[in-house]
Amino acid sequence: MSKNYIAPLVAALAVSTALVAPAQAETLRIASQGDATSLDPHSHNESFTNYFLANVYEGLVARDKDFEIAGQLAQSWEQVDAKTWRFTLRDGVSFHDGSVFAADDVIFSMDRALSETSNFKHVLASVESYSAIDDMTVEVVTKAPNPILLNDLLDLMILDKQWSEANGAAMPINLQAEEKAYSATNANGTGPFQVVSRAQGEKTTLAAFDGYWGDAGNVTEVVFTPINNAATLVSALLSGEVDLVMPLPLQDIPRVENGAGVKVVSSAEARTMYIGMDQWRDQIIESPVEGNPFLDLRVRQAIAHAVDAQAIIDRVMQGQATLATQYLMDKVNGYNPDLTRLEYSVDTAKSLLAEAGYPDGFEVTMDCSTDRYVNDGQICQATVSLLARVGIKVNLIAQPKAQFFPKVVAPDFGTSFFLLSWTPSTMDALNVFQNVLGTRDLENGKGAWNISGCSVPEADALAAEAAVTMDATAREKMLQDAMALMVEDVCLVPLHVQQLVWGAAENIDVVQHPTFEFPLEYFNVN
Amino acid sequence: MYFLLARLLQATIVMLCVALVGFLVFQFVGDPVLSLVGQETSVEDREALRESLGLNDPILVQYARYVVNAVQGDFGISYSFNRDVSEMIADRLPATIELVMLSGVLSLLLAIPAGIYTGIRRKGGIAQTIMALSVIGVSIPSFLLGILLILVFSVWLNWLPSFGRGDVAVVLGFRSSLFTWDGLSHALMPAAVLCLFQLGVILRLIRAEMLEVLRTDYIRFAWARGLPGGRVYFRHALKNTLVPVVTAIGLQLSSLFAFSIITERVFQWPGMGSLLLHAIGQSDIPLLAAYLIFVGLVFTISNLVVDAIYVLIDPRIRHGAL
Repeated sequence: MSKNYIAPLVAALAVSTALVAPAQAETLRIASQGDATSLDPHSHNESFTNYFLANVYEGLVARDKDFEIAGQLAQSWEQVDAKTWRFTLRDGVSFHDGSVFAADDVIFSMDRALSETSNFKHVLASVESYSAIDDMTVEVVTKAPNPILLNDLLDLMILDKQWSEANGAAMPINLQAEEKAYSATNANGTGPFQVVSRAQGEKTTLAAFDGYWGDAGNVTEVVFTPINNAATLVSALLSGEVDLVMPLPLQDIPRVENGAGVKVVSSAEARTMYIGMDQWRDQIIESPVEGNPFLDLRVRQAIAHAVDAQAIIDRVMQGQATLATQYLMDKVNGYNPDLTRLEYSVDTAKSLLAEAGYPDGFEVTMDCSTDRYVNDGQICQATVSLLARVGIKVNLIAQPKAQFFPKVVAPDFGTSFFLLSWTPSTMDALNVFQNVLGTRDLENGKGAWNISGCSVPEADALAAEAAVTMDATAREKMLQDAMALMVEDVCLVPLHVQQLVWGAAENIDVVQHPTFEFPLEYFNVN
Repeated sequence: MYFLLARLLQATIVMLCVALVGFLVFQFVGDPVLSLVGQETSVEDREALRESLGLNDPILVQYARYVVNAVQGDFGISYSFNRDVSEMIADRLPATIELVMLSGVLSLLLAIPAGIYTGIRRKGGIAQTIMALSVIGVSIPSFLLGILLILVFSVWLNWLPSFGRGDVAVVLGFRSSLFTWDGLSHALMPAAVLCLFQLGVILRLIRAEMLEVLRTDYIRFAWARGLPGGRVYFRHALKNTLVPVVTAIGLQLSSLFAFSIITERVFQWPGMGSLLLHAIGQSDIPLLAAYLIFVGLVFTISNLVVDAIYVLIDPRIRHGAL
């Protein structure tokens, strides 16, 4: 493919700026199917928004290039005792508006994250108190020993106290408030990139921040455009109008692989897909069957045997996924390498069903979203035909996420058979136990996403112990054992771990993390 | 004066009804709270947010509160954008207006002469070709045509940009991307897609009306009097086809405003249509309500304008003879 028609112009521009500036201007043009919903880092807890803003705002700690947790605004930290952490802040850091970063900004940001209109209260849920020891030291005391405090703090972005207060943004946006939400459309962080212009849903321009304390990489300007339509997104990449599209729709992978000057970049994502089965009602809903077949372990095992997850990966996911043996992927702390899947076997499934008293199968309704996960609707259609082979008649309700989620989540949990998935934001198994696998205890904020309503008390006990165990090795063992118990009980049927698939111009180096983060300071334009 | 007042009253009732139907439908668009909060937000926090947004009130109470605020010019704050809804619409409206204007002008410039020509020379080869093409224009879905154009002109030929709105310039106080080359090159393909359907519909209507009128007695008399062709066709025939044509154009142009959704999405045009799709996806009720009212307003105004134009072009309506 020929270079695009503005290439000579860009070259001319580069020559003219080269006379003035020593470094060459490297622009990275990114297109994605969504846009950040707000520029306020405590407002919407939505992964794309969080990771977009992580280029503008920074936390005390962050994932480095190799996905390890490293100090960002915290230079270092020490544990005074099991519950007390002392963070030494980084010297010489300034915000984009030039003001100097200090401990009062951290305290302010923590107050803000806990304020009523914040959606980030959970990051400090384990914290009893916090205070500034001096200008450059912050002390955090947890309610109980918390081995994953650093993981929790990853999502806590730090704002400038003076800037926020001066602009009426001392609290995250309140939808009821009548005044304009300044922090929704303006940003002032310490990150490697600053927001130059912002037209939501249209175009956002970032520029490398001159005063950045660290290495901001070679990208000097980022032009970010949301393109909702998949075909348009891919065309924009193929015609050279953008350098990077994320995510790349699976059906377009061959087009990009065969295109000149463009490439497909993919790696495993921390999202595990699974099928859930009602294990808490005595009578399943939206089904003519008497009672609840899923209460019988043999029925759950039969479903696991009947669903050919490899076929789903090959046909529906175009090979862009890996088989899941459990309810998290291998980069998550607490992954149990010894676990295996129940093999695909129609005969085993049929005999298990017969043993359980359903030799001719039964009829059940399945709830499924069609616009939330990669090819979610098609995964469900495949499941329907796979289960038909063992006599289970599935009536599929494939619906947009706006209808799907209100139906299936707390407090109604209005489904008895469904497709869902989970990404542990902390990349630690405990998050999965607290939200998805642990016995439902909504008053104490546990199991809000345990839509199956499964319950394995021994696993609960192990997870509770892991939550307060500071010894990393012992803790990992507990989580692995707990996971083994859940898998043995077939709480859910694990399907696959989906891949993160991007399309990029040949001259772009990217860094992919399992959490969909896109730390632009590690990206390179060659 | 009485005519205008009656029309305004009608328009108000129409819009109140549109908003009411909207609110009845909103119960089924999903739960906005779930698209607002993250997966880790507790059930109580979700419930508290729902309460504070007034989403637990009966739908008619929500409707009444909305109308009272809207009458005072307050359309609320978009849930998903955290911004004033009226401000967001003001942001997006110009993009849609310029697309509609460009495609409207294009389709009228092409449809009127082509319609007249095919009406007069209906057996000719050119006329037959135009008619065949117009069937294609009416029947190809706009998303398909859009993607085809992108494939040909952006990916293969690399002539035109495939998405977005171009640079904006200010001329005579109007900010528009149609005043720059970059902006025009961005607008050309989406405008062409929008234009093609209108073109087909209007062209066929004008042709049908021309055929109808050319058969009437007064045209025969005009021929019998030996009037020149131009005078018969344009002064006597065309003028009498205009009433239904103007109605159709008015409705078509207002539906362009309301339903350029697909085209805007395919070309990532930052107008009202893509805003609506976003609002539906996020169950953003304030934005949806404002959009519906806006569409209601566009249709009411365009009908009003069409009625006024009737009076101007057809003296029989003015004198109550029809």
